[in-house]
Amino acid sequence: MLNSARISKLLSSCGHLYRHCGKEIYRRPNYLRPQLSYYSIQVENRIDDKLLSLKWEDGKTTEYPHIYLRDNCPCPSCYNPQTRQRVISNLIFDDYANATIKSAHVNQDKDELHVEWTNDGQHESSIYQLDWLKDRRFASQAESQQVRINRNLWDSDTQNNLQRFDFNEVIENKSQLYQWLRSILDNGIAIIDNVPDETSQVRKLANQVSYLRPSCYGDQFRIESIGEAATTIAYQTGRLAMHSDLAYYANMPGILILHCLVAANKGGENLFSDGFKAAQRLRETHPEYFDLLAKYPLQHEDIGRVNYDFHQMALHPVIRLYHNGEIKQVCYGDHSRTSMLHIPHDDVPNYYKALQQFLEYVHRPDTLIQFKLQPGSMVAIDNFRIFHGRTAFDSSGNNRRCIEGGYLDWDEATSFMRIMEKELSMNHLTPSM
Amino acid sequence: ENRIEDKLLSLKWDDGKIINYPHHYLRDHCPFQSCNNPQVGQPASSSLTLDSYAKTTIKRAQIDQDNNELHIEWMNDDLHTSSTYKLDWLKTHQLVSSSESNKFQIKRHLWNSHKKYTIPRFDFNKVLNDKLELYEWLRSILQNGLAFIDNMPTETGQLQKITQQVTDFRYTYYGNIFQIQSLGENAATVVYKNQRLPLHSDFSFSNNTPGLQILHCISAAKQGGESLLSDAFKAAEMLRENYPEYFDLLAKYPLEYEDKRTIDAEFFFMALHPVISLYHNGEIKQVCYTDHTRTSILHVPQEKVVAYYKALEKFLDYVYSADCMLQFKLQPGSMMAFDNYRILHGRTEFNVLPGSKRHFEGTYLDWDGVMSYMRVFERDQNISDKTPSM
Repeated sequence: MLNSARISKLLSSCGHLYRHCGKEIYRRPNYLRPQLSYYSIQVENRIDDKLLSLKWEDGKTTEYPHIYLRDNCPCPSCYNPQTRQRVISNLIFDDYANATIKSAHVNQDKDELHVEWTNDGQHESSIYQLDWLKDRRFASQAESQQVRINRNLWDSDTQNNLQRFDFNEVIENKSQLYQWLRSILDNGIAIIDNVPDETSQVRKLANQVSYLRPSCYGDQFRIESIGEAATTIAYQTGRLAMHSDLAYYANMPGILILHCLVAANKGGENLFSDGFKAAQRLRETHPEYFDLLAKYPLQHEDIGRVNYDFHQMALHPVIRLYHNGEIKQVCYGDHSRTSMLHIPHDDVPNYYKALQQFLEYVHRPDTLIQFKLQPGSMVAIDNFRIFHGRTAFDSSGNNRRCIEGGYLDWDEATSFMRIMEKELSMNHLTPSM
Repeated sequence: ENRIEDKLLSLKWDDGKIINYPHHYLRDHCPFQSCNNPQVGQPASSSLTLDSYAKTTIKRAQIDQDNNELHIEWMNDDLHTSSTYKLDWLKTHQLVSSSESNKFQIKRHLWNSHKKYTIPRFDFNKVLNDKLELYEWLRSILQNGLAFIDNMPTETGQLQKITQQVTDFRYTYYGNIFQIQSLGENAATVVYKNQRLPLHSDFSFSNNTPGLQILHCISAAKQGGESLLSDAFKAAEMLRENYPEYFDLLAKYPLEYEDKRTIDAEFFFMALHPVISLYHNGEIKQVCYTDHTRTSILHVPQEKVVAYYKALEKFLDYVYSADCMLQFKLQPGSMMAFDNYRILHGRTEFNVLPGSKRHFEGTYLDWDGVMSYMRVFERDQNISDKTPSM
């Protein structure tokens, strides 16, 4: 039960304010942390295997290798509380490998585990909070397959339920700005209305989060038909098939923001597709095709000149996975992929079949949405997940279609989100991308 | 030979090699005007589904010796009846068999106990004024992992004179250009204190790790403060050869990194990186390891944790071995630039006398921008050995 001693201990403890469990990373404010009763915890020191076995009150047993505990001792000489970094060591310097636990016992009153070391030059003992240990229970092979980032995949209702925000609110109110980013991460897309009909609104928005991510196209760019000067089809008037932006960069930008200044007289509609939905479907219906698209990279290239001559090249598989099989990114572009195939010829025909099936799923009605972005509106998408395209447009006369755009990287966007989650005491910590 | 049932076009080259080009592949890359937008050099085609390349089959194929071309006639194709391909193009686009090791990437010179002492050194004024010297400097960073420039003025603002000719800075919350000076006990991060820094990669807490790190020595420490550099690609290859199961562990499971503090602004970066990242063909793409920013969260299943630590330890043994590690004292007026995807760096602890300090100016560049510059230079100078993709 909560008593004043417990509360003051909880309030004064620093560090380890978040928990990781299999599915999501979340953080509770100190005063809301549940009382954890460790009265039935059992400790067994298996010296020969160099494992410390803890049997928890829920019946689960976790074995902590001695070396793991030594590597992560939380005392100030091993973990610097001011810089919040491990005090540098490199395993071999301090011979962690030899560190062996001589004895261990649980201090029930303080919810701590006390450990005594043999063979250790620096330390005789370490103390670990039981909460900390519980947050770091190792998963079994099967458990470690769980998804870390939960996304809302698109369906046929998505087009009618797009999250919309107001520009002034997003600029003035950090909590709204956070929600806008959250929508891009969870849903893949978010729309902002009531954007002033002036240039550089994308820059203004990006600067609230962090800074525009530059590319060979500049840090803020205009997408309009520029006739003979165009060195990319984006700057012509034709149709653009579904693609990811900057696939010819090894470090692709995470978020694409487009602000409509002038809409085209005819055509110029925006199309978006949930690549993760398409990939997921492919995994279910044709797992061998999914594997091919995850295995071999395509080469992407862009040669041109905007502010300077450039020749970008990069390799990306169509589907990129985390170590646990979760989808990390999808990347595709017909106009950027080159004729250089790094695929053994035996696999080429099946690879093309795989691509085709994937693209068919990309164009399914419950995966694709289409609308015409109006002046005064901005659309932002997760460039690691959502493909985008446009229909051909007519740029004659005075109404020259003009869209202004810019990019943010996920590193900076998620950093902002984590700071906000802490500031607003949210029950969530955005995990690493 | 046109193998219609298999939908393959078989070409036997003068060296005896037989390469099979799938019909679908050739149709996909038809160089004709309406298939390939010549102004922008990008395919005008839209997406495979829309143009039904899958159905196309080669009816007939013939080599035109005089023009060094291959003529193809298509059937079942809505848009085209024929296509023409240059034989040179077909030669550079030979598809390999799966048994051939597909080494297509960057030619690197791994270190050994002799090689590490022959890293090229360049002169500041020459690099500033001669584009070929500048290119060779970049080439050395790419191939050797490291390059030095000497005879720089011992004041700030020098390294940007070189980097700005190549590409923009990689901006981070540590600034466009950062100063590494001992700030004593109140330093925000271990980097700015005077203690020993073991070998590590920079910015492991970023999913987009900066590609190149450049450090210019403005003033050296009185005692200590030597630089340590290690060719982690070499260490990884040694691990692969001697302990393949450890290599696999380090390539499979990621470590988690984080950095939360306030420099230019408040930030909280988190990233996942395996120690060893591979291309699809098994070639090493990147090595990433940093003790001070890795967290206590291990994404390794229970039964593999002990082996994982053994793998780390063995890897670090190689990293610190004579074949891989270089130790030297960078002198004032000299600058080192290294590949942060490959070289781990550190320093020995140092002492500064009152009134003096150890001062390094540094910056980061991204490989995307640097390699683009190199390719444009290769094209303009007709250099045949081209920089491939990262």
